[in-house]
Amino acid sequence: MKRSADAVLVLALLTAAAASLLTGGAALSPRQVAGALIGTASPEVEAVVVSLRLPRLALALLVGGALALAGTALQSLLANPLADPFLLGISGGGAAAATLAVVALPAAALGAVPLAAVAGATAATTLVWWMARGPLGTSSTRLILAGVAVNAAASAVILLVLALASGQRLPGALAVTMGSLANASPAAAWWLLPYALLPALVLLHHGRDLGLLGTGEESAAGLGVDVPVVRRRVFLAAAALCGGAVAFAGVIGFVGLVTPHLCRLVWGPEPRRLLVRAGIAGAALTALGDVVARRLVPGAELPVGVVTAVLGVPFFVVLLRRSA
Amino acid sequence: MEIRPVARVLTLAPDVTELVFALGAGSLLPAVPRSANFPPAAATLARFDERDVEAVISLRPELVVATTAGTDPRLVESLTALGVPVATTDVTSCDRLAEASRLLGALLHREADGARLSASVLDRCARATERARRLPALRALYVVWWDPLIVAAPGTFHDDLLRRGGLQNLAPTSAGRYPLASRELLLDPRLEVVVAPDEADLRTMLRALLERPEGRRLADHSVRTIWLPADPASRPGPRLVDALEALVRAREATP
Amino acid sequence: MSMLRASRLCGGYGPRQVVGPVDLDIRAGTCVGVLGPNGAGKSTLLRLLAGILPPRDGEVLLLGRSLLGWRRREVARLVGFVPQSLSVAFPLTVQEMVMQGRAPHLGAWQPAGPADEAAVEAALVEVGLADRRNVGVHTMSGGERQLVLLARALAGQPRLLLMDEPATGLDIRHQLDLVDTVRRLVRTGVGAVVVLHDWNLAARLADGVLILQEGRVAARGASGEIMVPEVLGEVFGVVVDRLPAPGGPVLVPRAVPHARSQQPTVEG
Repeated sequence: MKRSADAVLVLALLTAAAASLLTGGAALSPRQVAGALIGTASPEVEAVVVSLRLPRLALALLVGGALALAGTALQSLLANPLADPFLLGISGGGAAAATLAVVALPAAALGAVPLAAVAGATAATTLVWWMARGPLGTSSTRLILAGVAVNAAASAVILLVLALASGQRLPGALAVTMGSLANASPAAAWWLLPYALLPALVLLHHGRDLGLLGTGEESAAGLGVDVPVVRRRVFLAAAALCGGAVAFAGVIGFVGLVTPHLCRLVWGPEPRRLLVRAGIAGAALTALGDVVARRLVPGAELPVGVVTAVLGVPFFVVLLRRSA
Repeated sequence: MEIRPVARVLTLAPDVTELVFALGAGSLLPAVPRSANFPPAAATLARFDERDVEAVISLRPELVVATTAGTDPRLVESLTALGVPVATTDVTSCDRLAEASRLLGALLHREADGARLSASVLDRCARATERARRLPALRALYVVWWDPLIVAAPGTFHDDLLRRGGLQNLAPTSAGRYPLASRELLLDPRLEVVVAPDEADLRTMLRALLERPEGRRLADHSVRTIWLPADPASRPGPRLVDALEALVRAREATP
Repeated sequence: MSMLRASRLCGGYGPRQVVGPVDLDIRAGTCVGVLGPNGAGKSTLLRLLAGILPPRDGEVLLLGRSLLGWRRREVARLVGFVPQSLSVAFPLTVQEMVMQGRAPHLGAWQPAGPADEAAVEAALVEVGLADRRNVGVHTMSGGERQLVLLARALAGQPRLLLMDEPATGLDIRHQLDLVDTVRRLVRTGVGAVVVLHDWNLAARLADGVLILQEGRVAARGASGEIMVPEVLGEVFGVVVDRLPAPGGPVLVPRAVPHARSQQPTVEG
């Protein structure tokens, strides 16, 4: 059963990738797209497929994978199935900085928006970590509480920025808050790759530790987990993954929260088994969401974050009913 | 709409401010909104914050002129609830600009000026449209912002500019008036012209775009970029006609 | 051979010191029972011995080396810590949970191998859960979860067992099984420190007994010396009767009003 589940997962990923490459404002046939990939298409078609669609697909996969990985790790670390990059204020901090940058920077400097997002996510992470420090060190409960507080502050900043934004800058700012892959470029994908791979490796390294932490911190310590060190590393790795995702795609919600749940239903909660599969599932889901975002209205684009939220809500309802 | 003599009028946006001045009724304005920058006569007047209900009320207007191109409907609601008469223009084409001129002229008891302005608008627009008809019909986009790509859809005054300028709008329909479009449109082989308001930010962003793959057709001039005077093209005021004439002139200038 | 030695060990939470100073020496092949009233610091002492809680004063030596110098994984390979209870955030099966006990012996990227499967199997058989290995732990009763915790510690093949009230929720049969299991392990050279509430269980299980009261050692010695009415009565503030029984003498407490200042009387 497990083997076939893996096969379905890979199939879903390939289907999402294919659908993504076949989607876009230019009406291209599958033959043209295939031709562009092997270099036999006309320069115009090749430009669309290789320079626009392929980087966009890569970005969707990287962002989706990063968010799902971060969500899975955080849920295990905090022993809380509702943990999510959103909840801990990391996405919010990045989005607040990014929207501010989009609205305030001169046009020539708009290339620095991803940097601003990373800075914002880092600041939010630092703030959450600092607020969560108690006399006994940083506990999971305090992390959640601090995260909720920072998220609320970030949301307030975003609303303020949106209210004061000029008409021209508003769509760009909204694209950040609602999540959009429209700014995908080969450069963006190359930048995000190390930003996503290195933290992902850290999380995979601590996969077993995360499983142990799910049974309680004391229990995990008794089994050899250096809890403070693992907690710090996992939190920072998750924060880096989210910061990178927000930097290039804005706020895409629900992927980090729902993907781990869906995968847990199939593969069980053991992080070592779950992490990679959740990453792949998140990548596929985000790519699929981007397909829907582009196909729903011909020629125009919806923010992908809105699509994932709309798709995520019924999933969530189903999950809740099943677990009840 | 009640028609009675008014002595104090407030406009809530640059386009209607220009319209009032074009009707020769600038003297009725005790102040102008902060965002108004034309005509030069407006610079001599005091400024007020057009988004602040209290600022509007404190100037005791007998009539407030709003526009669908930028006035917050809730502000209009608040003013109406407070008993202030508000007239709202909804200019989405040259024809409607002419009509708005006439109606506003009547409201301000400048019927003759209103009729004159209306006729002038219709006449100039008709001439420009006629000249454009002699040019080959090309497919175009009106770009409001490059990154993300925001274009003007049918139903907007920008769309009217394009059509009267002899251009066919390739923007997606049924996605709102200013939809976020796929950047692949810029690589669409059908696209021949891009029209945009000449603003420093937009010029800067286009320069950056030309170096990216999706800017290829713009860079090698398969797609022609026409820059229109920024303010006239960006607001549905009397200078919209100037923008249309500039568009047609630009098209005629290149063989 | 001394496996674990605590010298002037003191520990607590935040500004509060809960236990200490305590001296303790646990030798291989012996079992020490830790008794005391609620809040005496028994669990805290166990955490200090396991290295889970850093000491405020004094030190703990594991195999002659300060616990602070050991890495957590190295400690976990030798020491099996059985906590008082289990929080299960996600549904795991018994098998998966017990396999967690092999974690100290496995590298981060190393999957479980046949040796690990064998150790898990042996542990499951020992506690009698072999036929329930695929049951979800979250569906089990408190007592059954205790067995899972025990099996998890055993799967790690520890040389030293630190157990915090392992008999909680166990039925009579399983309590006796617990005693058998621990005694058997102790005979093979494993050392054990077991926090218990039940005196009679302690009498059967432990070679030596340590009684804590308000964080300090109120009595210590061989089981036979300590598990007697005089000592227990003094510490717990009750009158204790010692009744003969075929399996060994049974200690029965009897409540005495305003017991503290009175001399305990021994009857029977």
